[in-house]
Amino acid sequence: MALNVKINFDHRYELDEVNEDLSTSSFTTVLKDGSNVQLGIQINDGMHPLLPNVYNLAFGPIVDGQIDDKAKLAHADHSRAFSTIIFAGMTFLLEKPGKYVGIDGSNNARAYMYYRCIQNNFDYLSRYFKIYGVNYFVRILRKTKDEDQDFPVDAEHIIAIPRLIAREEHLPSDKLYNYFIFNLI
Amino acid sequence: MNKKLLEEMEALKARAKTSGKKGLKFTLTSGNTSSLGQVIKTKEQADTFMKILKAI
Repeated sequence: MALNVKINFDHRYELDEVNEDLSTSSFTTVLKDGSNVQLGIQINDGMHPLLPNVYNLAFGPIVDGQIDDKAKLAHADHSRAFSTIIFAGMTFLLEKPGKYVGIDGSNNARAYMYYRCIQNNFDYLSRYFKIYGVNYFVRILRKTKDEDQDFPVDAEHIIAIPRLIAREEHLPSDKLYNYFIFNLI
Repeated sequence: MNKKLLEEMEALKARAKTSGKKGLKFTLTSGNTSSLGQVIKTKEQADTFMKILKAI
C-alpha cells in the first residue's frame, strides 16, 4: 500500500483523453515492472439527486471499458499518479465553482491510504482545498428489554456529519471517516 | 492558486472544450455507488448535510 505519497502538481502524467465537461479522463501510468497501464478517472455527476453539488470521484485501471475501482496497482511512482488524479479533480472543480468532489475508497485499505495521503500532504493540499471528513452516525434505539446489555440500532436512520479535517489529526483505521470531500478554496 | 498551475488548468479546460471526447464515460466494475449517496435518503437529510458542509 502506498503510504508515502507526495502530492506535487508539477510532477504528474499528461492526460490522454478527457471529455468535454472534464468529468471523465484517462492517463497512462507506469508500474514497477515497467509495464504501462491506462487509468481512468470518473467524476460521477449523478451521485444523488438530493446532493446535486457533491460529485463522487473514482479511478482505476480501465478493463473492457470499465474502471476497476478495486484494483491494487504497484505504481512505479505513486506520487505522480495521485498528483494526476487530484489535478483532474481540481480542474473539474475550477469549472464548477461552489461544487464538491468526494472520494469513498472501495475498501478499507484504499480509504486508509487516502487518509494518510491527505495527512502527509495536508499543508500542500490546504493551499488549494478545504478538506472534509464525513462521519456516519446511527440512531440508538431504546432497549427492548431492560436487562439487555447492548443497545439496538436503527440502521435505516443514519446521519452524515461533515467536519474539516485537521492538520496532524490521527485517526485509527476503525474510526476513520466514512467519506472524504474536497472543494476549492 | 499559483499562476502556472492556474494556466495549466485553464489549458486543460480549453482542451476539453475544443477537442474533448463527447460521451466519454466509464462505469465501475464494482458497481458501487458512493456510501454517502446511500446514506442520505431524504431531502431533509441532504439539506442538513449541505447546511453543515457550507458552514464549516
